[in-house]
Amino acid sequence: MTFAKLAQLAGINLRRDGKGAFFSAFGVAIGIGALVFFVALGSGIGTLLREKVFPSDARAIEVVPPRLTLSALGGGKLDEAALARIAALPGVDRVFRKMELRVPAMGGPAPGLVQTFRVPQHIWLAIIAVGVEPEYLGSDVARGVAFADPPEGKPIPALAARRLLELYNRSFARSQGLTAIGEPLLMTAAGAELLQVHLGRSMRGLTSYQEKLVGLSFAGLSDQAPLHGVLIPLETARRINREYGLDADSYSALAVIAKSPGAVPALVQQIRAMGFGIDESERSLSQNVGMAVALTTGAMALLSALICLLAGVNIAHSLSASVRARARELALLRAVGATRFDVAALVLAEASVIGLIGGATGACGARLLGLGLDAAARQWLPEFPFKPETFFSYSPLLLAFATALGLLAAILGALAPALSASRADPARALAG
Amino acid sequence: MIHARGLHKSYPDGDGQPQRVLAGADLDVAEGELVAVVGPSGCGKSTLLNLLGGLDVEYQGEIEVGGKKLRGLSDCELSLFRNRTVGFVFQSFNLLAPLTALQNVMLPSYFGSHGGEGGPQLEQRARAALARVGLEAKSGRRPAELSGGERQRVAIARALFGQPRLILCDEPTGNLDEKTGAEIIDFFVKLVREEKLTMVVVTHEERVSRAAAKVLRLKEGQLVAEGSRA
Repeated sequence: MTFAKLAQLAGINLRRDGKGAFFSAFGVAIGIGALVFFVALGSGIGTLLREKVFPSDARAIEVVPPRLTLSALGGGKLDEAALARIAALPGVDRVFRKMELRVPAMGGPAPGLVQTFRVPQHIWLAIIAVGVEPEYLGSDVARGVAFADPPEGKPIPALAARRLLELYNRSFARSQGLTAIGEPLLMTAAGAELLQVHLGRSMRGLTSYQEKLVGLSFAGLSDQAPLHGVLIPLETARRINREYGLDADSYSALAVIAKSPGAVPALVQQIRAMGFGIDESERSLSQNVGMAVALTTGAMALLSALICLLAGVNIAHSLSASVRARARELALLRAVGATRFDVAALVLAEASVIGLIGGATGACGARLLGLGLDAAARQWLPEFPFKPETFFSYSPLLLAFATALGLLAAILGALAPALSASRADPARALAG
Repeated sequence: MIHARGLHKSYPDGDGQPQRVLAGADLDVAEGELVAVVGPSGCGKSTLLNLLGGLDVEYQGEIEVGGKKLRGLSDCELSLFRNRTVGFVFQSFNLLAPLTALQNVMLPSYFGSHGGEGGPQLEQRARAALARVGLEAKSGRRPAELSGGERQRVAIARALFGQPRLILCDEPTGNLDEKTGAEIIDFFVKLVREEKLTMVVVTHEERVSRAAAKVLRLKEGQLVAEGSRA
């Protein structure tokens, strides 16, 4: 029997029992729809966590000195020699240096900021700065800004955390009645001096360090920047540390970029074996939250898969009843030349149509539901940090996979009835 | 056309004991012959027909139809045999309710290649078969819109669609009134005389027996000749 004729016969049978076919397809649609919805939701939330809330490179490892240093014995110092040893490890792509500004610093708004934006003059913040190499920041440095140690008297370029802007816009600015600032608008301020920093001053007041006033200019936003501090050029941090007689040779951290995410666990093990620590605070928080989302999504997806299974059982039940009711008719097909395979194929084709229609309807329904919920969230949900444009991640692959799963559930459900129909004795069925 | 030797067939009865319906039955039907098989209800007439048509493969003995031995044929070969060599006509018509008369007649074309004929040629052939039974004008009607006699004629057209050499009829007039039944029998006689078709008709109606060239009675599992008008 050709595919066209098979489809024609299956179509005729399904149209005849339209109600039964509709309910069978509806069951598949509910299961597949729920599956697509929860997987897309989990994937969307996961993406939000990975890319916005806890942005991190899956290949990145933050190497820090061990908590208990054995520097007296010559171990645990993150210097050039340690960097060279780590860089030589198999699986390492690149290593970036990080050096904290080791002198205390307090900053307040620059005069220009006070005059132009009427920012209160007497705001003081503790400045935590980490020196990094420009290559570490990629394209985060604003256009036209040189991320390098500035000449004497010129402000130090600094990058803030991109998440800080999100927190300011969605939470702080709203509660304080301030205007939200978009990233493109903020970039127009690149190069301008925003803060004046008193090096050597701490929150406790006077220190033994000699105070020095330097400017801090806005150089861009970066996901690499800590929420509580800024990134400045490595050479600037090194120079200031040296000027204050502090350690300017060892690094506070090394950002190791593995060649692939798969190489990370082995590298972590080797680096730990070398006596260094791994800063996993951000990564483990991200992983824990991600794991919670994955587990919830998994549970919901499992529930949805169970619905699909039930839909398959329902198809098995209804097709079994249909095959029994049509025993004489199927026997007639055998009498006019249908093989056992043709009869089984006919039952499977009917199930396939049910599964395909149910699967596609469920997948499209879940997509529409997601669009509707996103629109409702934009309309009704209050602004909050990291509020996404969409909570869902529907990939064409997911929709195609879900439709195929609907088809598979229906075919699996139809296997037993198809086998039973093909094995039926046509002579007995025709005898009634 | 048909040579059957030593046919044995039994079914389990209500107690699970084998009940023999054919006990070494022999049958010879020549090409272009109309043979009536008579006997009381439940004696095994329909079983014999199912064996000859390759619908029932659980039996002992040998059956040869049109020079082809049925024993040992695969499911595909038997299906092709039913599609090309044999046409079935049943007492209860067995038409598919959702299909029109034309679609019912074309049903065998869904299976097998039919010499590479395309849709239009097959439809033309089905219309010709309907025309032979006088129902060309009702080709678009569904079984529910046809009378009993018309339904049986559609079933006959379906049996003729594949241009078979053998027609097997199981109580073809059993559900028809006397006048319509007589018309059907006349049509069978005409088919045999004019087109040299071979026909085996299972019946317990006298008028069919009267029209047949050979009448065989199935008695205690054996076929016994009653008379011949050939």
